[in-house]
Amino acid sequence: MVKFWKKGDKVYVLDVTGYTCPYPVIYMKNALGRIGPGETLEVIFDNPPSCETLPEAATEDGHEVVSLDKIGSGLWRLIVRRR
Amino acid sequence: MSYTEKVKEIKEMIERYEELGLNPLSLATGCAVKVDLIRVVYPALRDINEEIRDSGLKIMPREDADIVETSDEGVELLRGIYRLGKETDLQPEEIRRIKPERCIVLVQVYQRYADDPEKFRELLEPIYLNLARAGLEIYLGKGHSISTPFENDDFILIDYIKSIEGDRHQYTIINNDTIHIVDPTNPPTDYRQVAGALSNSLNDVFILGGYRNIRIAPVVNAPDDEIKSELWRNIENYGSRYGFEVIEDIQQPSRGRLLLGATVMAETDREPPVFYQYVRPGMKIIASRPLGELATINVYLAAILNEAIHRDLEGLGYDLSRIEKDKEEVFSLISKPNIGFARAIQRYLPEYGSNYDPDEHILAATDVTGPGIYVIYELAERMNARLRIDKIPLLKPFYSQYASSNYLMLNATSGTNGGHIIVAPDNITEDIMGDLRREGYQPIVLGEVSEVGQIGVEITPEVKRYVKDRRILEKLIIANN
Repeated sequence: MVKFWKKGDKVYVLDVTGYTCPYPVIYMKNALGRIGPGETLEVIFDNPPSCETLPEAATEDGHEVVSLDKIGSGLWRLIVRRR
Repeated sequence: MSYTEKVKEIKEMIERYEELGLNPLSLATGCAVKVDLIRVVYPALRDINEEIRDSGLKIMPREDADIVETSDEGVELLRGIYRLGKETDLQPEEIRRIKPERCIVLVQVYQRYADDPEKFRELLEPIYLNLARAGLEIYLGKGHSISTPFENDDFILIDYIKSIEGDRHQYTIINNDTIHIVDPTNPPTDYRQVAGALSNSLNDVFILGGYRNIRIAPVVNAPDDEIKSELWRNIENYGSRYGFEVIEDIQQPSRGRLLLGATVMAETDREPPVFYQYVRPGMKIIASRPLGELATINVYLAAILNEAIHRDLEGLGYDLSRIEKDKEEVFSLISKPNIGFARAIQRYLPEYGSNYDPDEHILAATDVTGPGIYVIYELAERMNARLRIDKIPLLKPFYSQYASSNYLMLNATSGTNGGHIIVAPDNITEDIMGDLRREGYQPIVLGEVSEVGQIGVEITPEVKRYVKDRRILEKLIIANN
């Protein structure tokens, strides 16, 4: 199941572990549509091609990619600030 | 039907399957679940090869399918399914009892290990060492590695192949392929899901000319008995519709979620088109039909799951009913076996035991699945040649471009049970295309072999519209770039 929650002040988390392409990009776009300008979204994922598709898709839509980190074996976190 | 009604209908379908322990919307479409060959599978196999170097076990170089010289009786297939890693239950004694000549392997690994060559090696090595300890001469022919998002769904399936005794004067072509689902917005029990998966398995057999005595040993699983029974009914219908024999009494990976596919076998009395060493400049590169089936399915999926994408598409003149119609068309295309392709190429292949004639015969053929247009680079590697590609024919260019530019797919030329690429001498190109047309295909010449002795693919800049994968683009020589 996709999980989306508010982690703190202006910070949201989207967990799409277990999902392969094209779902992570679609769910990230959904989540960015639900948060406000200037707020940040942390996307947790384990689908390797998403290391490329998620930051590119966020940038293409005009959002700011803050960081992309490997946080475990086959697990990544992308932080995006909504435009 | 309005957008809201359609979304509601699909959500209700998903809920029904979720109650049965299956969410179709978490499954990858088509061939999108393969473990990366270049970064993961090959380095792991290279290390394992070192360990088994002095044994009778030989891992064959990558081919589209396994080619075995057989008698009229063909081959016998026995199946074993085992745990991966140190806890494996594959024992050398069992292998000595079976005495296989060859093995066809399917590996399903947890997604988080599927990106790590070292971890992948750790999972596979104990199996291959035990196979080697059997002390027999065994060839590991076709191997296929897929990933699963579920940790406990790991397994290795080995189909042991034994030729039945007799005068060997033909070939049996054997392949294994599996997918999770073709179209997640249709029920997994839709006949076309199974038909697409089985046709996809057969595609690699057809490109090598196999078309007689087709046998299917299904690889099928579902988390619910009702779904499983329905899938088996669809497999039987598929077999009887096309006259293919289905082997029903065979072990299945009764763990994990949805899995659709098969090990398939077909015979031919022709030499398979693997004459790479005879490549010559000027040979033509032909596609049997336009490529890129998966883009339409993925764009439809995105429109259903994301209202902003739906609105965007609507603004571009693609409302949901139009996209759905296009998607259904593609889904139906995927579900038909390409036996017509195998029939069409027969007369351009040498008879069994005869030599290749560069004036009469097809040099090479491959099918276009997950790697999409990248298969042309793989062909260039096999032929040690430089190719020039002037056209990228796509089934639905709009969807391929949309999927790519919105990063829904890194490679929107990829497909499942897709078209085929043929390399053939110029003088028979028109004849081949005529035969393909008579079988219902829409062949097109993509380009030609420009040089031999140097690997490369020179391609039109149009490729960047449909492919964003940097690892693929870096391998291509993009014209005017």
